[in-house]
Amino acid sequence: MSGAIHDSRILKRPATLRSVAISFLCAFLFMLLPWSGPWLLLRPDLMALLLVYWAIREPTLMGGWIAFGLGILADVADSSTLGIHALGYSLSYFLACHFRPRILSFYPANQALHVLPLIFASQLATTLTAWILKFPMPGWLWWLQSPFTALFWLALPAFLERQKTHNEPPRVS
Amino acid sequence: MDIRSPDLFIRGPSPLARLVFYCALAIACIVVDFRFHKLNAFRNMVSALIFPLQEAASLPALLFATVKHAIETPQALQAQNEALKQQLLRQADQAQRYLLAQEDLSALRSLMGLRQQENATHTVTEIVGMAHTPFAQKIVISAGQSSGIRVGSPVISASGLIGQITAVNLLNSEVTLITDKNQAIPVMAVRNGLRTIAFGNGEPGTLSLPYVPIASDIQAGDMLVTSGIDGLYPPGLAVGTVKSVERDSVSAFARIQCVPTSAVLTQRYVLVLNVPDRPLDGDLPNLEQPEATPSGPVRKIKKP
Repeated sequence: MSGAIHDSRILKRPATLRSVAISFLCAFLFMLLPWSGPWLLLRPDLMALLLVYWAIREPTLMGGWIAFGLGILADVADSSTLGIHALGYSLSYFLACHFRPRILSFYPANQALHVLPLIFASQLATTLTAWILKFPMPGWLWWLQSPFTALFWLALPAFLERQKTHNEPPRVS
Repeated sequence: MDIRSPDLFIRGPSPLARLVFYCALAIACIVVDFRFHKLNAFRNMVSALIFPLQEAASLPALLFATVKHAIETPQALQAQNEALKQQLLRQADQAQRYLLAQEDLSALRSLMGLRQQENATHTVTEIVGMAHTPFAQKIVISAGQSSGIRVGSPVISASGLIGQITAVNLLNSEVTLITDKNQAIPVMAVRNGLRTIAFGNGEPGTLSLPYVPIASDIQAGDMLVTSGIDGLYPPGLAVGTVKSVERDSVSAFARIQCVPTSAVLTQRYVLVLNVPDRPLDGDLPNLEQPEATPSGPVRKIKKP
C-alpha cells in the first residue's frame, strides 16, 4: 500500500541524523509560531509526535536524553516551569520504545490510534503537574490537542520518508 | 522500515530504570524552578540560544503585518493621524494640569510632613506575542535584562494597567496579566475611595472583587484604580470598571465582576514602569487613613 507508515513490506532508506535534526528544528519552529487564544490550545504537539515517530523508526539514533533536552527547550519556549514538558516527553519516548514492536505491526490508521495514548500520556503528565502546582486549568479545547496531534501521524511519511530505489547501495549496519 | 533483530545483550541500565531516572530529573527541575527559582540563569542561557529561532518564527506574522500596512489606503492613515493629533491635544491639556496638580500635591505633602511620592521612570516596549503556556495569562515583551527591566515592575498601556513583569530574560521579558488567576491587585474605587483587592479569573476580559462586604457602597460602573498600598503598583493606574454587583444574603461578601480597562490583545506598545525599590515586608508606605483591607504581601492571599 502506498504511503504506509512503517510498513515492513516496503524498504525505506534509513534516516540520517541530519534529517532527524532538521525535522525537530521544523517542529520547534512550528511550536514558536505566534499562537494565541483557542489556536494555542489546539496547537499540535509535533515535537512529541516526532519523538514517538523517531523512537519507533530509528531507535538507534534516539535516546532518553534527546526527549529530556527537547522537553527543556519546549519549556523555555513556552515559558512554563522548567521540567514540565521534559517529564511528558520522557514518558512518551519510553512508552514509544516499549510499544514499538506492537505499533509496527499495524496499518497507518491503527498506528495513529496507538500513537494517540502515547501523545496523551505526555499531555496528561503536563496537565497533572500544572494542576498540582495550582496553575489555572485551560478550557476543554485543550483536551482535543492529543487527537489533533495524532492525526498528523498520517501526514508524517509524506515529509519524512522516501522509498528505497533499486540502484541505491544498501546501508551496512 | 527494517525490523532489526532484538538486542541479545542489553547494554546499560534497563529502559524502566532510564525512564525513572529522566522522570526524577524532570521532577527535580520542576521543584527547583517552581519552589526555589534557582534555574533562572540556565533559562536565560537557553532563551538567548533560541532567540534567533523565535525571531525567525515571528517573521511570517511580521511579513503579514507589513503587507497589510503597505496596502492600507493613505486616506485611512490620514484619518488615523488626525484622530491621534486630536487625542494628543486633549491629553496635552490634561498633562499640563497634571503637572500643576503634582506641584500642589508635593507642596501639601511637605506641609503635612507626609512622605513624597517617588516618580517612576519608564521604558517603552513592544508586545512580541502571547506566552505559549495554556496554564497562565502571560505576554512576552521585547525588552529584557539588557534594557534594565526588573521583576515586579508594573506594565501599563495607554488605557490602563496590563500586568506585572514576572520573568526577565536577556532580550525579552514575561508579563503576567492582571487577568491571570494568581494575580492580586490592591484597588480603590475612584467614586468613594473604597479599597479592596482585585483578582484575575484566569480568563481574558474579567476580574473579580471577592472581598467586598455586602453592605459596601459599590455599584456597576465604578472605576477602579490601583491604591498603591502594596508598594508595588504606583497609585492611580486604571485597572477596570465594575460590571455587575450581586448581593446574596447567604454570603458576607458581594459577588462583583469587573472588566479590565486595558484590552491587551489590541495593544502593540506598552510602558514598563521602573518603580524605585521600596521596603515590601512589614514597613509599608505610611498610610493616610486606616485600612479596611489586609496589608502585607498581597499577592499571597488566597481566594476563598
